[in-house]
Order: sequence, then structure tokens, then C-alpha cells
Amino acid sequence: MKALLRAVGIGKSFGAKRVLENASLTVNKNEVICILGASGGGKTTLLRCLNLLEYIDGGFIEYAGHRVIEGNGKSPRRSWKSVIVPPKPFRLLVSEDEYRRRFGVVFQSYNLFPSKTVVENLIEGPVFVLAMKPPDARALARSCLEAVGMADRESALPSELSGGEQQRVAIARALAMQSCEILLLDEITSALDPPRVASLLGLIKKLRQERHLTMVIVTHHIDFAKDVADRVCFLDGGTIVEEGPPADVFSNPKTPAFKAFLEAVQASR
Amino acid sequence: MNDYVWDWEVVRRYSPAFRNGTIVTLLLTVIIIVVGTLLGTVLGVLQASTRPALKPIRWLVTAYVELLRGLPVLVFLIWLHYVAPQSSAWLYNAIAAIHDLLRPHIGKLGNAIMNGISSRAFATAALALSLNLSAFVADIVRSGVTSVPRPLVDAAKSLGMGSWLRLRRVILPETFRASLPALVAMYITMFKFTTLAAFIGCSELLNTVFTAGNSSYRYLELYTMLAAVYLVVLLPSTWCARRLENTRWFRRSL
Repeated sequence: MKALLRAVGIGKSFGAKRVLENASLTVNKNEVICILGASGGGKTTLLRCLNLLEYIDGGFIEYAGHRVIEGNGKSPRRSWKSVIVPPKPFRLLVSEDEYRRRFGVVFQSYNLFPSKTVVENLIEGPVFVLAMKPPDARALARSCLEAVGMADRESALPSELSGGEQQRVAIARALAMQSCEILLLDEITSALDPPRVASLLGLIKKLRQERHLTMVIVTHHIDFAKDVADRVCFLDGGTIVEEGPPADVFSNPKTPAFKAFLEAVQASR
Repeated sequence: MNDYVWDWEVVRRYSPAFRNGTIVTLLLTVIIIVVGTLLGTVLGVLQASTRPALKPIRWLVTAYVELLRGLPVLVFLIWLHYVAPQSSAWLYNAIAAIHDLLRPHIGKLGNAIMNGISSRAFATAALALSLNLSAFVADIVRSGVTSVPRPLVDAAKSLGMGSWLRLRRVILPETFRASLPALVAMYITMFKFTTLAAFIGCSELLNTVFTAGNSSYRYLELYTMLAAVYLVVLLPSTWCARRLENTRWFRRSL
């Protein structure tokens, strides 16, 4: 199987804090990958690096065989010019706006546009980025809302929706971008109660079967990962230390960090 | 105790002059608000940008904003009217150009008004107060842009929006909703600052009253009327602004 997205040796610092160090991840087409890891372990950062919401400073990312961005690893020599234009720790090889169209992102805090209704949130991308005609975009938006079971709330404002409903709208907004090839889902189960997690699981499975989407899911929820993932990655200390099909990884943890993580999850039940 | 005999007849006698003065004042206010807001928005967005290449421009904008906010409006107005044309032919020509630009459009309004508007003082007042407003609007817009939540910008980015589209569709609408009360406060201030134009000889409302008083000596009635006209114009406008803040469209972001 050919890799759709390949991130190799990713490094990322925020100031003095090294969040990612030599993290590598390969995403194949039609695959669902779950990224597990402790809080503050860099899961969200890794996800944001994939669609250039954060710029890496080490390693490189390839999409469908094309180099997208490469980090320099070290900051270039400072000169008098760097006072006015500070040096960048990366080199961007594509147009980032066009590259981001290939990704749908569902954020942990949903990030719906608060002043736009549900349907306006959905048509924003298709109309203004993909230059779709508004009536067509509306029809598309309705079909996406139906897919997530929110068809009856299309004229509501995000503030009038519950957290679970906002999440579904956020998923629908990502689906409405027809240029979307990879769906990045950040902590989508963390704000939901168990029955809603189950229905979300059903939704993810349905989307995968019907739309052949590739998904990268960041989660704490081990049962969810077991159910939905083709491959599970465990992130520790800014790097991916364990990777494989869920059946293997969960029954036979190799690293002490992953063992401790699984035990802690068991103990909390 | 007070044996002044009020004679309100004078108000009726000068009512055409009052009307003309009010129109000049309102026109001046509209020009100031439109030009000042447009220029101020551009400057505010530049100031809020984080692009490293724009750093020298940000310095210039900051200098401009600090300079104009630091000068009293009347001082700036007087300086621009009397000093600047003497010291710089370029500025003199710029004001003359504004003056020429305005003149043909208002011929229909009648001679008295046209004389008010086509004076060089009107052009100078429009320029000075627009620049002054733009400095304040720039600061309001800058703080508005920086207070747009980062997650919304991330959401716009993740939809593939470029920087111009993000600005137009997400950042500026949020900014204006958040800063409308501050902007309205500035607009009210600018409306009241148009009285300063009287001191360089622009025949707006206050100047009309000076002229009427010089010939009738009925200053007390005229000044009372003057205050009433300002209130009659201002109170409904502020009421409308308050209503706008309470509409669903406006509250959507709150």
C-alpha cells in the first residue's frame, strides 16, 4: 500500500520546550490511525504539524510522494538582517493554503464560527475556498448534516447547541470540504458521555465505509481506539514509541511507558 | 434678578443659516467617519499583523498613531491649516486637491452650503479630523484583531482559507462586532469635534452661530439653539447604535 502522508523524524519546539523529537508517522490511504499518549505528550501538536497549523523545525513531511515541508533542525546564523526578518526554522515547499484543503480538522474545542449558523459554518469553506455556488453548497451542507444526524438544526447558532452537537457540526464542516482527503480528529471523545462515544464510533465507522476517508484520531479512549483503529501509535516523550494493529499493541505492550499508561487506564475504571 | 428679555424670533430668522450649518456639519462628520474608518482599519490590520516582513511598516504605523493621538485635535487642525501649507507645497496641493474633489459634487445643495463646503477650511478640517480618527480607529481595530480567538483563525486556516480570505471572512467581522461600541463612541466624539472647524473658518454649525450672533447680538438664544441642534442629531444616533448592538446579528458573536 502506498503511503499517502509520511512524516519522518518530526521535531517541534515551543520556546525552550521540546514537544516533538524524532516522531515518525506514516498514513496509508483509507486507514484509520489512533494516536494515544499522556496529556501534554505532543499528540495535538503532532496532528497540527501534519496540516501545517504548526511548522516543524526538524524532519520532513511528504504528501503523496511530494515533499511539503522540511525543518532545518537548527536555527540559521543570526545576522543584522535577522533583527528585521527573523530566520525561519523550516522550509515550505508547497502553498500552505492549498495543502490544507486536503485536510479536514475537527478540533478538540470544535472551533465553530460563533456568529454563523450551522449551515453557514458548513458552506464557508466550499463557497469561499472551493468557489462553489451557494445553492449547491447549501445542498451539500444539508447532506453532510444528515450524515452526522444534525439535519434539523441547520439554522441554529453554535451557542445554542450542546457540546456533542457542536462536535457533529464540526465533523460535518470538515466533510463539506470536498477537497478533504484526510480527516484529523483531535480528542473527539473527551467531552462526551459513554452513549455518545458509542454513537460517534458508529459515525466514524460509517464515514469510513461510505466515504473512504483516511483518518488520524487523537484520543485517550482506549476502547474507542481498539474498536475503530487499523493502527495504533503511542506517543511518549515527543516520539512514537509503539506502533501496530490494536490487537497486537494492546495485548503485548513493549515499552514500560505504554505498559504504565495501560495500567493507569485499567486502574481508573 | 435676571432682566434679560428672551427673543426667540432670532432663531426663526436665522433658521436657513442653521439648516445650512447643520448640513455642512453632518457632511463633514460623514466624510470623517468614512475616511477615518477605512484608513484606520487598514492601519490597524497592518499593526496587528505578525508577518516579520511587515515589521518596518508596523513601526511607521505605530509612530503615526502615537503622533496623532498625542496632539490635541485643535492644535493639529490649526497647524495643518496655517503652518503646513506654508512649509510644504506638497501638503498645500493635497488639501487643494481634496477641495477640488469635493466642490463639483455639492453644487446642488445651494450657494450658502456650497460656500461652506468648498472653502479650504472644510477640506483641511475633513483631512485633519479624518487623520485623527484614523489613529484611534487603528488602535481599536488592532486590539480587536488581536482579541479574535486563535482557535477561530485555526479553523479558518484548516478550511484552506488564505490570509486575505481569513481577514475578510473571519477576522474583520469578529473585530467589528467586538469593537462597535468603541467605534460608536469615537464617532460621537468626532461629531462633536467638528465644532473645532469653526476656529479655522469653516462655516459649519458653530461658525454659522458666530456669524448670526455678530449681526443680531442674540447670542444667548442662538447658543441655546445650537446645543439643542447637537442633541437632536446626536441622541437618535446613539439610540440607533444601541439598538444595533442588541440585534441578533450583532449578538451572534457574544
